[in-house]
Amino acid sequence: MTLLPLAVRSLWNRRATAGLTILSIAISVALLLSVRQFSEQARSAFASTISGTDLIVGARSGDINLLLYSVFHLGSATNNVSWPFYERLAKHRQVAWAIPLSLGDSHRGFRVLGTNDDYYRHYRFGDDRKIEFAAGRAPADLYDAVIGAEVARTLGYKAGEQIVIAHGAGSTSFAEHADKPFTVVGVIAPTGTPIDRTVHVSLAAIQAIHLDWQSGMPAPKGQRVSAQDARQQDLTPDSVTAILIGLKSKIDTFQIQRSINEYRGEPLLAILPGVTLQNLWSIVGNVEVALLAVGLLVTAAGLVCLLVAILASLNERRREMAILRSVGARPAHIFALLVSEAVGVAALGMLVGVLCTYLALAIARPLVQHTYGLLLQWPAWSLTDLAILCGFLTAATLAGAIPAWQAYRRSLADGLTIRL
Amino acid sequence: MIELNDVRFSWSGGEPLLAIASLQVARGERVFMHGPSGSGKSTLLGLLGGVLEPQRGSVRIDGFELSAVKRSLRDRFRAEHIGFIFQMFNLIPYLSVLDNVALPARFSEQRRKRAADISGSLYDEARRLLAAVGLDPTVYADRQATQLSQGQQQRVAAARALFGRPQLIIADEPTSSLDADTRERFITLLSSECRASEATLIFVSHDASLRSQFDRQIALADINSAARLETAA
Ligand SMILES: Nc1ncnc2c1ncn2[C@@H]1O[C@H](COP(=O)(O)OP(=O)(O)OP(=O)(O)O)[C@@H](O)[C@H]1O
Ligand SMILES: [Mg+2]
Repeated sequence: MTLLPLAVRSLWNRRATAGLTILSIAISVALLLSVRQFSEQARSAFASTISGTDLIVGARSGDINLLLYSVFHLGSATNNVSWPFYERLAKHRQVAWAIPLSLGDSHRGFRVLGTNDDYYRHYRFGDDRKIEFAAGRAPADLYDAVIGAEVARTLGYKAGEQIVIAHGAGSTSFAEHADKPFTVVGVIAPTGTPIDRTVHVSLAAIQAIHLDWQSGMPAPKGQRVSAQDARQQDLTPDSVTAILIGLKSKIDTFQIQRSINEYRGEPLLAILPGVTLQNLWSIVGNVEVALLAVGLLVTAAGLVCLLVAILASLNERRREMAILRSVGARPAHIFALLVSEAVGVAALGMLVGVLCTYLALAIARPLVQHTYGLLLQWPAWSLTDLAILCGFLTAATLAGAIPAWQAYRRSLADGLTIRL
Repeated sequence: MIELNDVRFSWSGGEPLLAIASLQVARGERVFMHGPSGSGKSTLLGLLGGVLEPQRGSVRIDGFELSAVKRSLRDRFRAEHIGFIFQMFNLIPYLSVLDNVALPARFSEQRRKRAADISGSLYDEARRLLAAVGLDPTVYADRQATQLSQGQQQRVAAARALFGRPQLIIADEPTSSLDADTRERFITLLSSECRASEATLIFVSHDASLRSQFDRQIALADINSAARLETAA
């Protein structure tokens, strides 16, 4: 039958209410989809914090702990890896490259990372992206520093800026290496990873600023080594905090991991960054589940709105139903009419919701990129999203069937008598 | 055309309301049926329209045994063969006048075909009927149904009932919301249109003064023995 034009016109007749219902559904659908997109993107951004590194080696502790301090620069290492071990590893025939990381100092709340040129050559994140400079270059001189995009933005630094590194990780550390100031020589392009929040110097520089320090305290005045004198000294470090390893052949990964973990010379731990990232996400991921649950509940509330709107209209439409019956509409038609109205409203709401998701993203994209250096991706609709939308339509159909059934029963009981 | 035999009807669990031993209406006859309020006139029309089912007896329209078939068949039969006019508020508020008149075509294949045969297209037939009930289609066709006066709305309802030439027109107090003048004109119009389309007309009212315009008049009390039983008891 040609019920559809009837449903359309009936909806148009009640466009104010229908519009509001569509809006409330759109909002709830947009929220659900945004939450999904957000957690998907958070997950993939998280997973792409580091890539291309086959093993991370640190002193023996927890694997998540090692990942946190070496990659996310969160927390601190309880122990170090000896320099001789690093040298052995770097020369190992199965190892393609080994990046030493030395952490522990900070600059105005941002961690300072001591490393070498291999870092700029081999470090990868995201989809095999390497470190690129927005301005300047990698450190060449002993007192050169390179800063992440967020450091540059937050502190307003440009190349040429003189900075002083503080001892320890706290932002309020009073012990500063004020006698050995650094010059910012490069700014790294935004990466959306912890690199953005890091000040990079050379390993030797870390050694140099600690030459005259003993057990976390600067040496008394007379025994200080000046910045120039430090250049003459042997700046080979005793130890590093962690080592990132790239292997010549991925097949060797587990074998190397096992031999490092079983190394007798010192207590070490080697982890596979991908696996540990996943373990970490499964802890953080609960938030994702909670957000999704909220999204689903809001969507359910949207459906209840739809149900309420239709139920409320039923009484005033009783006459309309009786008229339709008298011109030949069967109760099944009445049922179909109401269900199709419900589905129509839900589908429109869904459509607007999807558009809202794009709109919200279009608005959020430049803001997020400017504020966090994160480039939000356009929604990548997955089968899950499709399933959610289909499920939503099904739920709307079922919700619409409730008032439709009521109208159906009523149209049978009322017959053709038109009641006010 | 209409044949009722030994029909009994009571609303669920209630007293018997209708007990009609026999009622026959010939094809093309225009019948006026009257009776006091609450006497069961609308209920009888519900039986004729196949909306209600008698507990006993048979209701035949045009040789079709309504009381013997399933509800869906009765619904279809009503759509194809019967045009209804009610007391008031006959129109779907969100449809235009023209769409209201052509509404039966959405549910009945036969009426759609017949309407198209008569005037060439559905909307042409709807316009013809509007003109026939005295509403200039160029003025009223695209108006919203709610923008018409009561009398105009009833005329649109009549046009709709006549749309696609159903064999039977059932009018349940279609004039009780109209003033005396409009009422006269409406009845004259309905009668002549029914004659033109050779439809049988059952016109119900509690106002016996309208009877003169019809071929035949029936007092419900005369054919309904349930009422007599009740008054006797
Ligand atoms: N849907 C219903 N359910 C139960 N009882 C009903 C129903 N419709 C009508 N009745 C009862 O049946 C009786 C006859 O009602 P009906 O509507 O047929 O009277 P009527 O002759 O058309 O009256 P009026 O002239 O006021 O329209 C009344 O007593 C009424 O209470
Ligand atoms: Mg009545």
